[in-house]
Amino acid sequence: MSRLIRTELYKFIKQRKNQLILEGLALFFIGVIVYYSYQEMNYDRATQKSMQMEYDNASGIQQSLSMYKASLEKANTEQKERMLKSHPRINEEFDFWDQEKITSFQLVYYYKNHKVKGEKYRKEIEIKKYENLLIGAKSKFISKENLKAKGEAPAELQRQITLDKYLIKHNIKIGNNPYHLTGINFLYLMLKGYIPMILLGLVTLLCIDIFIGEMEEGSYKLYLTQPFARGKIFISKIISAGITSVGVVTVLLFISFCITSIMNGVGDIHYPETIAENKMLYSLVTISNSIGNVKIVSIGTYLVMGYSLFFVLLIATVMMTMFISVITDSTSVTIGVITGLILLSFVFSSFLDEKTSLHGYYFLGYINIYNILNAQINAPLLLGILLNGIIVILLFLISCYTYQRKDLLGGVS
Amino acid sequence: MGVLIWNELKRRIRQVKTWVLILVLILISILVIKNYKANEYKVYYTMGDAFQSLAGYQVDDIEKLNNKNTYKIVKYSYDLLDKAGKQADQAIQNNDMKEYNRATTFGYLLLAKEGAERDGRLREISFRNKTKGMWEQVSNGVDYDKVSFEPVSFYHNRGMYFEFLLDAQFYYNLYQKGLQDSNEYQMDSMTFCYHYYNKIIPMFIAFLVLILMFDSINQEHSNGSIKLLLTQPLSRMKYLITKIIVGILHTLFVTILGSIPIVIAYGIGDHFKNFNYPVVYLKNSFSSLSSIHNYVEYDLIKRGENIIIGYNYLSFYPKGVNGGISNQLTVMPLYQFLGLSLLLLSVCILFFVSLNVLISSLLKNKIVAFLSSALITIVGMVLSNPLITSDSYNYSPFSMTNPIRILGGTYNVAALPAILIYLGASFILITINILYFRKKNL
Repeated sequence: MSRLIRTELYKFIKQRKNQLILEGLALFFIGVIVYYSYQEMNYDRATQKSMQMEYDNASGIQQSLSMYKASLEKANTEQKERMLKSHPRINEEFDFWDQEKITSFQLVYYYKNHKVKGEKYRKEIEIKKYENLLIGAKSKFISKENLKAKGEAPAELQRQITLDKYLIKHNIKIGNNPYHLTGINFLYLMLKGYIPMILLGLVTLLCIDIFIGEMEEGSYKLYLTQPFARGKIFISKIISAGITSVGVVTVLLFISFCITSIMNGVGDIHYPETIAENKMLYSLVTISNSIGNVKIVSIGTYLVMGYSLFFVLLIATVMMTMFISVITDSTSVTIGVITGLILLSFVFSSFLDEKTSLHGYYFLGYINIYNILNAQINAPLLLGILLNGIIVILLFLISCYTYQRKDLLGGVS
Repeated sequence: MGVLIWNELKRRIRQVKTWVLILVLILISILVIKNYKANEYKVYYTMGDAFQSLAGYQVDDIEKLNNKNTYKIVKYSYDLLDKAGKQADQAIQNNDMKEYNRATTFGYLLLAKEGAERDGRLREISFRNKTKGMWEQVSNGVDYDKVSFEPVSFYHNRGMYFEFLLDAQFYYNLYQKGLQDSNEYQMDSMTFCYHYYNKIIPMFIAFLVLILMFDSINQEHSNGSIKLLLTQPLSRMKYLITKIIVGILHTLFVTILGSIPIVIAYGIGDHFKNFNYPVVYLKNSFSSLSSIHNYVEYDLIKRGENIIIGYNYLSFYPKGVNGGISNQLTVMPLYQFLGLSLLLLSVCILFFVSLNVLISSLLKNKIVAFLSSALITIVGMVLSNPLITSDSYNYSPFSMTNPIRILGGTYNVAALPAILIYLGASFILITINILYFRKKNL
């Protein structure tokens, strides 16, 4: 068995295709480091610009509301009634935009000259701004789409408020740039956005032809003349696919962690980070009413949970790829179906409401690791790990059964 | 060659992935519709309210007028605006949409006249000539010369004049065709098509072509069937061109078929009545190389809203400056607009097909070919995406994938340069492919 695994691993490393993909993966990691370094460099300028836009917007709306208020005072009863239809809570709406204007203005000046007032001041202003935005969203003075477009969805605002309050209360040193690439922060950023999705896609391509390659070339006949049971061959292939996919990602993560640590230091593993409450985290069913509720843990705990989920997902996706390739015997179909499944998770995250249970019951829906860990979509961590675990076992058994009973004499159809 | 195209197309259409992709597109469409329905908002006010409010703002200024004759004319004019508002409100109550569209058109014409008068005599003459027919039909016999806002018209700027004129044209179209006003979240058979080519297809078109075409040549190269095929009296160049034509037709088949079931399902209910719904269109899209600034994307980021199909009520504030862009926009029937969108989409597909066929011809290994195409597409899109909202023009083929927004003039690129760039880029890719493939050792 160990000889078989060694052979598979040797074949894997020697394949030109795999060498190219490994080079692509290494380039992807370098690209991520370069991208975040660029984001770090531009963070102050970009944030100042976006705060300026928010100030202009709030200022414009507040001005038009003040004109509206003035004409409301002069209007007769019939006119008043009509005017109040479009802005039924005009005074509250005015106060909301006024507060938004003031806090955005304070942040513009903070980013212009942030050494003067310090990070604690920024966090205090941010808390005020975010709390006000939450009130605005609840009262429908500002739309959810608007907040989402600015990267300030209500659940994300709630998360920021909880984290900022904790940092101020415990007098913890506040970092001035979320993209500062320390070793720990690099690992944290790798779990954000679409990066896990791209990584998963690239690693899956590494293992896609572990069965089909031989079938398409016809060399499987020679391989099966060796004195090994088909079951053992299957298991050795699965183990080598698992080792290579998990191994490659782990090695690349470790190397990148070392590089960023040498560049900017390791970072503090005990630094606070938000995570979903236990009720959401360890649930076996989807819970829509716990969305946005977070608690504070160390970033180390966050990373352990995040990477546990990521590696379970990686193994499940690799297993799914093996399964499709065993039943279809076609590289094209396998690539098409796996890409389709990964795209579907993108579709769900883009178009589905965060409360929909479908997020929790689609195995690749868990690829939005940041959103899962921060309770921003209705998909509990434990359910995700369990669901993917079951998929791995089931697909393993079905694939093993299919492979052992496959008619290999007829060649490729 | 025709036979080869037909046989290849039949073979590709029979593939499982074709039907899986069609199903995925239908599923995405259903999710988008569901999402739109969730976002449907209650309309608190009608244009009638707006006209009455705008007429009400001027009461104090009218009272200050000393000249009795001027006072009479201006008072009469604002009373007309107030009356148009009341008529629009009444029409809504009576559910008479034709009358609502008439009153709203007239209200906008009055506001546009106010803007034109403020802008000077020449603008006013131009307005009179442009809107003569419209005025006669919607004013219920009001004499154009008896209406004047000049002594008190100071609210509206040049940009707003064009805005009101465009609004008037929009509602006049609805009035003439007996259609009902729509909003961004409305869904019916024809507006679904608009949303489909605006929100869904641009996001996935590159990946759709990638999945369909990454193995177009290397598959036949790997399994040896290319040798058999090239023993036929068919040049290698014709073989490549066949692949590209089939790629375009196959992608169009998947794209169009992905929308058909939903269009038919809606159409049974609404009889496709909105087929000639007026849609905002950039006037010189096919004759000019320059476009207008992408105010829709800008406003979406800044304000998060865009209330009418392809059209923004705040468009007279492009980038927050009172520049005025609505003079470059006009309205066009939806079916015509969708036809032009399909034309633009076809050249976009041509580019992505040429790219994938080239990579498929260069790399024998399907997985490496897929990875290379995917990386080029993703990197291209990531690098080009900022062009959609930047101050410069959006001239990258990777970011001109939204035909609806290009025709609407809100994608930092007009239709003519988009077509030229796609054709040029495709020509280069196809030429490289032909030169390479001619000498390839098969």
